[in-house]
Amino acid sequence: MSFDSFFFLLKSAVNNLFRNLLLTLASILVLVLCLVILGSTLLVVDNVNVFVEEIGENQVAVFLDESFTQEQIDGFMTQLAQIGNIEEITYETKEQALQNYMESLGDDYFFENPLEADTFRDSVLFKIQDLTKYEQTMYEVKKLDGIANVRERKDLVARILELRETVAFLSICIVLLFFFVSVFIITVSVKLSVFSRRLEINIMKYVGAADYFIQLPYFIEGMLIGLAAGTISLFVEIYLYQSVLFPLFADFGMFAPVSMSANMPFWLLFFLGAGTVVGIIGSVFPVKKYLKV
Amino acid sequence: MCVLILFKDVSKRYKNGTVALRHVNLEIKDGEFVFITGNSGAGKSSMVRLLMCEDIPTSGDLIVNGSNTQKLSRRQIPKYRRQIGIVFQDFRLIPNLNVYDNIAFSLRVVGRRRREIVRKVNTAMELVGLVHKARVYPNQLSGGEQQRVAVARALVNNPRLIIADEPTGNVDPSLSVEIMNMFLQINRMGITVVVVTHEQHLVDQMGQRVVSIRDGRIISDTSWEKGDTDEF
Repeated sequence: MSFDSFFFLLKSAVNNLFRNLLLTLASILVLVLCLVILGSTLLVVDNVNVFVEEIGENQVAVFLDESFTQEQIDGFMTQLAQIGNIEEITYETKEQALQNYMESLGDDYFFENPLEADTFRDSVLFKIQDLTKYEQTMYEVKKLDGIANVRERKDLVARILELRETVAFLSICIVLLFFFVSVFIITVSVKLSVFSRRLEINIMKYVGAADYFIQLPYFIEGMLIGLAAGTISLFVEIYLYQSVLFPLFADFGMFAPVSMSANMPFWLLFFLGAGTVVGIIGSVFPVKKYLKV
Repeated sequence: MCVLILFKDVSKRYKNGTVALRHVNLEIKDGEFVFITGNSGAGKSSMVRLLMCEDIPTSGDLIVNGSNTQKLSRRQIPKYRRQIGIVFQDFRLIPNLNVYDNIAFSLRVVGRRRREIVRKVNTAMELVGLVHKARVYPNQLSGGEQQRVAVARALVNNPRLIIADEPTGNVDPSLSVEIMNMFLQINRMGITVVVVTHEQHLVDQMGQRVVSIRDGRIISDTSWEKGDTDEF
């Protein structure tokens, strides 16, 4: 394609946008709303995942038979690793356990006499990778020799799983719903644009313009609407997250909320990419009807 | 002269059952000027639709410049149409483009370069006598002038064939002859011209080949040069 043709197509697309300026602005506004809801949903999901990871840390503690030698402990840890679906296996001595406990209490230390290490037991701590296979993995763990006791948080795991599933399901629903709403908005906008230029399309067909040449201005139009909405959404989302969602998550105090700025390249790509893709998809169908000449 | 358009036993039946063309056999040679006449519903527009590849014959073959229109793929149709210039009764000028841009439009949308567009559009405007109205918008032009712009737009892509579908239908009757003379002038440049019209008195004045259609059938084919008439 020559530069002249490209310039012509671009000019046509920009003209389309300004010809239906009010509709263009309305489309951008609605699309911004959709993209911000999509972005917020992803951020909530992200934060829920971080929350789940943090509360799920070292969720299982296995207390070993006190008569176990170091060699047996090493053997136990090797067997544990071989079960699979287990990560971050660490051996914690009772001294370390005491120190960790004291650190976790901080200023809230309320015991009259200092605690002693013998209050605690040596243990093997680990995390379950895939919580959906929690029961099965723990069944395998409990079959190992030398386990005196197991401290697990079955209920918590069940709740985490439930929470994850609910959030995942809701987020998929929201993403799908607003994806279709966004596509619909672009479709309507481009459809009206196509309708107002049906005479031009008709002439283009008669003088032998290729289908792609007829469609391209509308793709570009949809893409420009998407890009504009994506850019605005990014700024709105940054503001919304920093001023509303981040403080809200931070108030829980149970985990460090996700930082948007740390993942800026992703969010930039997400908003501009989602806007562009929605713009292009939304502009495919309206033109097709008028190509049949 | 080689044959440019060949209708070989062409019939066209639409989905609603209407038969628009019945076993039409017609040969139009390169460089000819042909009128296709007939009353409303005779099948003239169907012939134009077939020639423009908007539709394909139900049976028979339509061969234009060596291409069988039935065998053209969707991708080949734009290229096929570039060898044809079409003029409509309602002009179909883009209201927000001036005369120059209306004519240039048909070159821009087929990807021609700027320099070529400037040269060809100026030539086409000279040919139809509208150089002085290059920056004027269609609604500021008379019907006759608008039709001249439409003719220039059809001409600008150097077509081998010009099809005019009722070109005088929307212009002042006093200008009809002028429009027809313009088509004659175009024909003298070696371009084949097919004018579809129902205005018999106009056809009679022009002294060109006349193909008459009734109920989808060619009922006569009169060649004034030869001075003979084939009755069907």
